[in-house]
Formats: sequence, C-alpha cells, structure tokens
Amino acid sequence: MSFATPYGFIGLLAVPLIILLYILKQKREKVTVSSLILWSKVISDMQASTPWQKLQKNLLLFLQIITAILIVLALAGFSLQLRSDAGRSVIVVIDHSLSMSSTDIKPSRLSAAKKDAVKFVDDLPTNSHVTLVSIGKEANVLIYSSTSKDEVKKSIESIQKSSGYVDVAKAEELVLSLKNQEPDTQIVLFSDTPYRFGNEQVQFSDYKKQSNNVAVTGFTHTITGDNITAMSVIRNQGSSEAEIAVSLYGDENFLDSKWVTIPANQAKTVWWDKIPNNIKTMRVSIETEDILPDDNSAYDVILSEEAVKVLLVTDGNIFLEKALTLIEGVELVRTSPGEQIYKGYDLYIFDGLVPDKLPEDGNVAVFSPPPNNLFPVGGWMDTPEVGSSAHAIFKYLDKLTFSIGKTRILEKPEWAEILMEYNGNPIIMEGIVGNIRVLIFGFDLFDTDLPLRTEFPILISNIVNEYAPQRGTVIQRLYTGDVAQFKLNPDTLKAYVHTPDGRRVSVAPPIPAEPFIDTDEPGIYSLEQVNAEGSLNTLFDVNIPDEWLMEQSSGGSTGIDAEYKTSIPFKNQAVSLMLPLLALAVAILLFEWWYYANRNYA
Amino acid sequence: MKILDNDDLRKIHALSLQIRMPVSGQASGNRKSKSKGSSVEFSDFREYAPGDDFRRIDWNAYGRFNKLFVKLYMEEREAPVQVFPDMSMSMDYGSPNKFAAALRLAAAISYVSLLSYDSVYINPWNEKVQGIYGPFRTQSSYMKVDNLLSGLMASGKSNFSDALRSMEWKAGRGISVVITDGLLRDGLEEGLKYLKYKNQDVFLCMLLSPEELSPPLNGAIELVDSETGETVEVTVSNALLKKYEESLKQHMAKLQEQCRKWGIHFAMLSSDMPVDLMLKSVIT
Repeated sequence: MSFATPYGFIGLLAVPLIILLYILKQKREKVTVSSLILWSKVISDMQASTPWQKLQKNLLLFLQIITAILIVLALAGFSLQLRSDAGRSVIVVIDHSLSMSSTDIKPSRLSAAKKDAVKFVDDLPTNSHVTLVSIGKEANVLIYSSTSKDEVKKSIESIQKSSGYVDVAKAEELVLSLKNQEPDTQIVLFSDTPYRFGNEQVQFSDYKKQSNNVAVTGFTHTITGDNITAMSVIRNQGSSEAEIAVSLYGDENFLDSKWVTIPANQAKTVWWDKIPNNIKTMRVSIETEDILPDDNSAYDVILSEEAVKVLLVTDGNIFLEKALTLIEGVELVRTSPGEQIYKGYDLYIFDGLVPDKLPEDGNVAVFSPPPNNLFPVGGWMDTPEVGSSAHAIFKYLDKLTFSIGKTRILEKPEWAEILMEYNGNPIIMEGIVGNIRVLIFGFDLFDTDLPLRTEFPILISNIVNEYAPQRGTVIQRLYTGDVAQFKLNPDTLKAYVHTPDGRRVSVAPPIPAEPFIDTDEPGIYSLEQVNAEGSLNTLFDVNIPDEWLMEQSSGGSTGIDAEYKTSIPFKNQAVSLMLPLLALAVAILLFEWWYYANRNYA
Repeated sequence: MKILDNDDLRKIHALSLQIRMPVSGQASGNRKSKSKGSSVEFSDFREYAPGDDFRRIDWNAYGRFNKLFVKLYMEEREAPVQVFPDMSMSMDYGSPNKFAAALRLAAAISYVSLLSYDSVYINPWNEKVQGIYGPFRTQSSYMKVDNLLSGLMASGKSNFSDALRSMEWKAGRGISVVITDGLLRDGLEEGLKYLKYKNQDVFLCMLLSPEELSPPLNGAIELVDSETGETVEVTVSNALLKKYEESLKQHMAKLQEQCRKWGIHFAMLSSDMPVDLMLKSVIT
C-alpha cells in the first residue's frame, strides 16, 4: 500500500467541512398547516416502512464523507502493492556519452533514457535505495544510496549530454565498486550500448534504433611551401554504405566540397590540397544529415609559424648552436658573455654564465652555471651515468641515458624544483623567478656524452618548445573534456579563453594560469593574453576524440551475455487504485442523487 | 359585515332541512313532534279515559264500536337546531378560509332553520363550548345570528368531546349540526357518540380547505401546527403527497363509516364551495 502524492491528503480537510455544513445546514422554510395530525401519521407510516430509519437521517452525511475520502485517496495516488519487495537497492547507470545525443529516438536517446529512468525510479517501491551514476568520458556518482525519489529524479533530469565517448574501464570500475559495497543491489543500465560490468547481471534498456551515423574522426594539416594540405578521416559507423558530402571551410568561409562513398563500418581518408596558407582555422564538415550531428565537424588551427627568437650566450658551443639551428622556425642569435643587455628574445640560453640581472621578456636556460647571486653554486663533483626524468624536456626520451664526467655542486633554491639529481646534488633544476622560468643544467655539455647521443637534438627541441612560450602556449592536441594547461607569456597580466559558444572565461590571474576544463564543446577556442601593451590571441582547436571503436568493442555488441535482460520491467508493481476509487465515488454520488430524489423524509 | 349576502340568502331561501326524526321542543314549530297534541294533523286513536278533553271524542267511532275513543293529533313542535361551529385555530386556515366557510354554513343552516320556525342555538367550540347563543326563534332574529357569527374569532385548540360535556343540555331531541375540519387530536368519535346519547339528529359537516385536500407543498420544509406550534421537518416529494392524500382519504372513509353506523348525516365539504352547494350537500 503506498501513496504517490501524499499531498492529496490535504483534501481530508473536506470531511470536517462536510460535517460543519451538516451542522450549519440550511434552515428549512417554515410552512404553517392547520394540523400535523395527518402529516405525523404519514411520516410515521413512512418511517415504519424503512428498516434502517435510524441511519436514515445521517445517511447522506455518511455517503458524502465516504465520497470525500474516496476522492482524497484517489488524489493521494493510493495504490496497492502486489509484491512486498520494499527496500530494493538499485544502481541506475545513465550513459550520457556523445552517442546518446543521437536523434534516432526523438528528441534524443539521452532524453528518452532520462524519461524512462525517472519513470523507473517512480515505480520503485518506497524506501528503495537508489544510487545514480552517469557514465561518459568520466564516470560519476551523482547520488549515493538515496531513498528520496524526488532527489534522484531531479538529479536524473539534470544530466547533460557530454561530447566524449564512454570510458568503459572507468565506468566498470566505479559501478563494480558500488556493487561490491552492497552486493544485493541491482544494476540498471540506460544506454545505447550494452556495457558489461564484470560478470554482474545488468538490466539493460536499449536506446539504439539506428546506427547510420557518419563522423569526422581526424583532421590535421601540413604546410608545404605556400599551401596547406589537410587530411580528414571520415568514418561510417553505420551498417550500410553511406554516400555523403564533405565540405572544407577556412576561417568559416567555404573552400571546397567532395562527395565521398564510405562502406559500412569503415573509415576513409579525404585529402584537401592547395589550401591558401593565409587562413588561421579550418573546419571540415559532413553536410549530409545523420542521427548524430555533434560529430559531423572537426576543427584545426594553423599555428602561426612566426620564428621563435633564441639568444645563445656562449664562448662557443658547437653542439648547442648546431642543435638549435636544426629546429625549424627558430631564429638563433649567438653572442658572447660580454653583452649585458638581454631583451627581445623568447628564450635566452646561457652557457657557462649567469647574468647578474635576468631578462624580463623571455625564459632562461643555463648550462654549467658559475657561482652567482641567483642560486648557490659550489665546486665540481663526479657523476656516473644518469637517465631521463618525467619532465616535459624529456618528452619522447624515455630511454635516454648519458654519462656526465663532472657537474657543479648546486644547492636547490626555494623557487626551484629538482628534475634530476645524484646523491642529493641537483643536476637539473627548474623554477620560476618573477615571471621568468629558469632551467639549470649543472654540467657543461663538453663534460658529457649527451651531445653525441642521437636524442640530443630532440632534447634541445623540447627545451625550445617548453620554454619559448609563444610556441608552447597550447602544446597538446585537445579533445573534448580534456584539461588545457596554458603556458602564458612572462609579461601576461590577465588571460581569458573565448569558447566557440561565445563565452569569455578568465584563466589568469593567478599566474601560472589555472587549468581550463570547460572544453566540452568541440570547435575553435581562443586564448587571449593581456599584457601592458595590449593583448595577444592564440587559437586552439578542441575535437571529439576518436574513441568510437573502443567504445563499440567494449560494449560487446555481438553476443549479449545471457545474464543481460534487454528490457527493464517498467510495469508498475503497485496497482494504482485511482480509477476504481473515482468510479466508486461517482457511484455513491449517483446513489445519493437517486436517494435524494426518492426519499420522503429527512 | 354580513356573513351571507342577499344573493346567498335568496338561493337558500327555498331550502329547508330535511330530517328523519321528529324532535322535541317547547315552542310550536314546523316539525312533527312525538308528543300527540292539538294540532290538525291526525295521529292515532285511543280509548277515552277520564280527564281527557271530551271535545276530542270521535263520535263516529263511538257509533260504530259503541266505545269512546279519543282522536290523537300530532303536535307540531319547533325543532331545536344546535349549530356547533369549530372555532379552533386549525379552522383559520386555507384559501378560502375554512373558518369563514364554516360561519357561512352555520349562518345558512340557521337561516333555513329559522324559516321553518325552528329554534336555533349557536354553540361555537374549541376546547370547550364558548357560549350557547340562542334560542333564535323568528326569521327576524336571523340578523342576530349573523351578527353573532361575524363576531367570532378562531382561537385555541379543539376538543369536541370535552366541549360537549362541558355544556349544559336541555332534555329532548333536537338537531345538531357539527361543522369542523375533523382534524382533532382526540378525534370526533366520542363527541358524536355523546350527541347521539343526547338524542340528537346529528349532521357532521367535514369542512376542509383545498390546501388540505391537495397540499401545494414541495421540497425541504418545516411544517408548523397552527394550533400547537409543533414542528416537523419534511422533504415533500410526490410519493409523500400521495401518501398524505391516501391517509386523508382513509381518515374520511373511517369517519364516514362510523357515521353511517350511528345514523349520522355526513357531508364532506370544501371551503371553496358556494354556500348553497354546501347546504345542499348537508341536507341531501
């Protein structure tokens, strides 16, 4: 026995009201007759013929009270529980990944799933414990073991579509850990893919009607002379061949279009040639409609190939000079230590010296520092072979080992971090002084075999990429949902990100910039760095990751486990008595009407 | 104000009460009396006895039978007509008003009685007889009767039997005309029996208003008894009205049956009847 809307009981106030009305019932009109002798006789005759005459006087009152109670019960959503399985425990898993935005179920798979989930929760016996989990790129527990249906329903309603695919491992790990905490709990999955959660039994509600979706899964470019050549990868996720129109836009102006035929479940590479190199952004879009419009576009930013200006201050270091000149887009200037004005470069490399005053407009790398006023330097020590560390300058250099003959004995200043050390002596340190990043190598390159290693140019390239800020503002390719960590110019005062939907989000101050997480929308973003002289905009693109294949393979679309129930029993286990109650109330009212019309005595 | 206008009087002038039995009375009237006397209407013979008026000896009989016979004559005496109009509150009801109709009927009966040289007594009653007015013997005294009746006002409850018992009776037969609605808590039977016991030739005039015969009531109402002030709540429906009419009919039928048994003239009247029609209904 349960009540869906206990607020209906407010209607019980009608009962005292009816009684009050009977107490204050309408005064009858007085009619004088010559004598009551005959009337009394008639009335007593009538009474004698009614067996329940005692009740008779109040019958209508009783009927009205019963009717009021019936209507109140109906309003309160009175229902009878056929099975007494109160206190069920369920984990409701709702997939809000990109594919759930498909419109093969109107208005979208996610909307339908949310609606069904709300109904499912509604139909659960009272006191059921509901844990609500949303899965997508991340798996989140939105509500843990709540008995408040309203709270759960509100939370279900608040689930928004996301732009990533389901990270199956994360989802499985989370759901299983929840399940382990309460082994009797039941897993209910609302998704378009029947994910497995270990070997647990899952009630699965399927929201996939069609799969005729075509997506742009890759988009990149190379600059060849005066032209740009772009490559896009289009995947047909459907089970039938697709013939589609694909268009290329440069700075949102139409550039080119192609008809492409892609066999079922295959990807095709589409090349775009002779794109003028004066454009800053490109977009490739599938023009043919499909069930999921969100993945029909991919974006690419053509980074400005402005040269990075590097000043090398050395008495002569052929290794460094050679390695720096090899890097495309680096404008190298070499100078001797006598020079005192360091200004106008993106990166300053000091070999064998540390300037008294650090430059203010670029980062600094120091090799073999002599004693100076920036950090304490001692004598020399011998060092055996060392390996790479996890720092960005060792990117792609996991297996690098090199030998160092001798290295300076350094003391770590407060502002620095040690990247590499030997016996407690820092070999490589990094830190920020003012707004300037400083990288310190304790050894002289001539005292090591590092320049002889094939990895040396890569190390130097990494240093330029990491420390020449203009180049390193956005280094990694971003996918929706990723966190962007910006390396701001040293003179930046404020920084904002302009999102594709027109919002401006502040990321700095504080400096260094806060990680930017608002990358759910694929498209072209812009980082605006404001300094004393003006502002500098850097574009970057955010695309949908190509994880569809991964999601598909993990979902086990072929051969669903026997333990899977492919439909959720949405049938209400409680029998709602609303209609019978209302019918009974109407019947009583009709009887009352009939009785009133035929009665003779009140 | 006159109870009967000239037109009414003209209509009832010709009517006279027809009664079945002779009555006794003191003044000579236009009625056959049981007492044999000196009127012109022959009644019987009987043998002469000393002391008889020998002028009444039938000499022809003596010639034939050689015995003295005296002729006996029916003495015509006036019939005392007692009119009992019910003046209880229950009579002051209806449209036309029952009490007014009762007074008109009483006036009409008085009028025709006076025309027949009968003496008339008017005995209005409710719980008791509120006065014995009369005798009125001459036609000219009708005006007095009219005046008397027009001065009467309905009041009080009705109790016929008590009323009759409280009244002084003169010996002898007579005519009693009871005008009532018959709606008495204690019934009429006791009173009627008493009248018969007093050797009265009784005329019972049951006078009801059209509203009582067929009540124009409907819906939820509170009925108030005009005499006692008692109330009863009633929701009037067709079924109830039907039941009421049946009950009324039964009540009348029972009364009529009793009257037939006791040799009482019974007349069922409605207050909307013209007075001559009422009179005719009573007489025939």
